[in-house]
Order: sequence, then structure tokens, then C-alpha cells
Amino acid sequence: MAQRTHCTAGFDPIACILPPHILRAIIERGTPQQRAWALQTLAVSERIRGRRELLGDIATASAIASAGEQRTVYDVKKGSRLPGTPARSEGNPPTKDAAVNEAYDGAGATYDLYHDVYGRNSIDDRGMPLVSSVHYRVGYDNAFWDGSQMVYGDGDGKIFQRFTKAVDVIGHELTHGVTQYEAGLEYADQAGALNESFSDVFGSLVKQRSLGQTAKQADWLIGAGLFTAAVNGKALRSMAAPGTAYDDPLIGKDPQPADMTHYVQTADDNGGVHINSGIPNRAFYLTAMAIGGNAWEKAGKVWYVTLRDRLRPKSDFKGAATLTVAVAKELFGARSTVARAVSDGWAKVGVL
Amino acid sequence: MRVKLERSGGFANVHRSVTVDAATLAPSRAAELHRLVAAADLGKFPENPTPLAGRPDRFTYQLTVEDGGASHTATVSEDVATEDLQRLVDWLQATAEG
Repeated sequence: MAQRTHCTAGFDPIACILPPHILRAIIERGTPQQRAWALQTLAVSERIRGRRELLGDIATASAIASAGEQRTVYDVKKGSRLPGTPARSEGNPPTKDAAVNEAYDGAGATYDLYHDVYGRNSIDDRGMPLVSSVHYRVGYDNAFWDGSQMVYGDGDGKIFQRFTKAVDVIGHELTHGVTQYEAGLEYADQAGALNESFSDVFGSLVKQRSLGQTAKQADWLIGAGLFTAAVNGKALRSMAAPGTAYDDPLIGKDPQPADMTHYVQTADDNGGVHINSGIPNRAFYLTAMAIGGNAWEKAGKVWYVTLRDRLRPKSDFKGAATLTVAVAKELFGARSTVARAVSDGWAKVGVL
Repeated sequence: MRVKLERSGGFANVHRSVTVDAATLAPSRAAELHRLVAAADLGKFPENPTPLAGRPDRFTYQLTVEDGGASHTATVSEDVATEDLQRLVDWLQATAEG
């Protein structure tokens, strides 16, 4: 416990909150692991104190500490207090815990897509450390982004297996972070379904790129491998054929519509954000298939620039469609194959 | 006492519904259910909360407690659920699924 006593390298920000000026010194001069820890501590202590004046410091510190990705995976050990106990930090070798390694590798694959293809420096584009917590609660059937980190459950073992098994789930959750820092799409109705769709799009692109698959080779499934063998389903969602991912006596049938004529009006699920996301998901799939090659290169670039620069918190499907077409024309030319593919994609699902 | 839990939303958006009837439980387990329900203090959560933009991929829990002819339903978004309410949810799921 000497680490905590001296407040130099401990990981528990509550037990050990250093003055911000010391944390900043560590961020400027420490090893990558010390920097990641100090940044996290600065962010968490700011949150605990509820003080906003340190935000500027964190932004500056993040910019200083942007020398590559900084992943830390924590183990919540079936509890609920986040983030938990550190299990693997950047550069450390794999552990014996598959969930820890999957969360670490998936965060890496997501960081790489955003960094290598779109030139983005982590979730906030300022080198934000990627914090993940695994083994959240007992039999927890979910994964989520809590506004500052990723959280993964182990699944109940009857319907769901652990949520880190699918790399697209990890890309999906981290993209909720990107959306939070960029378009800020509200999580309700069409804006919420767009928020979900962008997470599925980049989640799928993380998977496709890590497998080296072209648009034609990809399965375009979200969450393949999460269901146990007892469930009649191949995945949670299908971007190519929304509504066909599962059909099972216990959990029912995949409710996603594939076009606007089947748009679902509902108050559940924040206005059907996980349901109607099938429509923009399929628009992306159709676009990427029409362009051909690697989906992340052209279709992905159009969607990324639209998310980063154009969408607003209350954007709807039509707004997103119009903006992606405009971005495609700017990036690839008004008469380009890409611009035509984007506009055809949205037309086929009845949005344009 | 009968407690029904309906879970919606989440990354998967797969609906789950479980019901636990205290009359079918061993006395010690039934007492535990009563304690958990009391601690969760469902009365402070409205049945139909004003719809608000939610948080990505969080669950929504709808809990209905029937006890001695009275019935109360509370709808709670996971991100505002108290630890006591989460404990009741986890217990109901674990008990119903054996």
C-alpha cells in the first residue's frame, strides 16, 4: 500500500487525490503509464469535486499527453463501483482474463481505425485515455458508454455471453463517446436512432478493418457471437437485412425495419433508437456495397466527416441523408461514384 | 406479494420479463424480497416519467408490485436507478432464472 501512502503511482483516485499542479507535472514528464494514470485522476477528481474550472487544464493536459493511445482496463469484480481495480494498462502483456484482453484489444482496434484512417486522436480528438471496465455486476446483459468510459457485463450465460466477445460492440460503445464530443446527437427518436446507427456503422468498420474484409466479404452483423447456443439468432442486428438477425421463442424476433415505410413509432427504447437505426444502417450498407472495396475508406470517411462537422443534436434521417450527400460531393466530387452511391443508398431506404 | 420486472433498452434492446411471487418462495427468501422492495422505495419513482433523451445503451426497468390488493408501477431509467433498486432488479433476475 506504499503507493497509495505516497500518492505517486496508485490507481485509486479517491484514496489519493494529488493537487492538480502535481498531476500536470506527471502528465508532462511521466512515463506513458504514469501520464495515463495522472490524466485519469485529474478527470475523476474533477468529476468528484464537481468543479468545472479544471476542464481547461484537462484539455491542455490531454493535448500534451497525446503521444499515442493510452488504454487501461479495470476489473469491477462483479460489483458496480467504477472503474474498479486496474487489470491491464497500455503496453502490458495479456492477462489470463479473456474479457480484459478483449476490452484492451478492441479499444486498440477502435483507436486505430479512428487514428489511422480518419486522423482522429482518440475519442475526444485530444488523446483522451481509453478506460474500460469489465465484469460489471452479476449476469449483466449489457455494455455501455457512461459518458467517460466503457462498461461491459459478463452476460447471464443463458441468452448472452460476455459483451467483449464482439469487437464491433467495443467500437459501437467508443463511438458513442465520439458522437458525444462531436454531433452530440440527442438519444431519442430519429436523432437517437442516428446516434445508434453511427455507433453500429463504426463498430462494424472496426470489425471489418481488423479482419481485413472488403464490403462484400463482411457479414454486416452487429454483436455476432454474443448469443449463447440456446438462442436462435446469428447476431443482434443486421445492417444488410434489418429485421432478420434473430427469431427466437424466448426473446422474440428482430424488430428492425429496413426502410421508411416500416418505420416504427414507439415510446419504448427512447423512441425506438435501437429499432429504427436499421434504416440508416442499411443506407450505409447499400452505399458501401455500391462503392465496393474497403467500406471504411470512402463510405466510412463520408459518414465520419458528417458526424464530426455537420450533424447537430436534433438532426433527423433526412437531415443526415442530405448532409452525407453534401459531404460526399465535397470530398469526392459532385458527379463522383461515391456521391451517387450515398444518394442512392438513402433513396433505397425511402429517406431521400 | 408479487413483483414483476420488465427490462427494455440496452445495447441489445431485447425485452425480458420476470415475475416473482413471494407465496412460492421459502419464508426466508420471501422476507428477503419484502426487505429489498421496501429498500428500493419504488413510491418515489413515477409510473410514466416525462420522456427525456436517454443515455446510450442503458436499460429501462418497469417494476410492478402487487401486495394485498394494491398495485404500484414504477418506471426507472438505469442511469438514475439507485443502488437499492439495482439490488432488487439483480435479485429478481437471479431468482426468476434460478
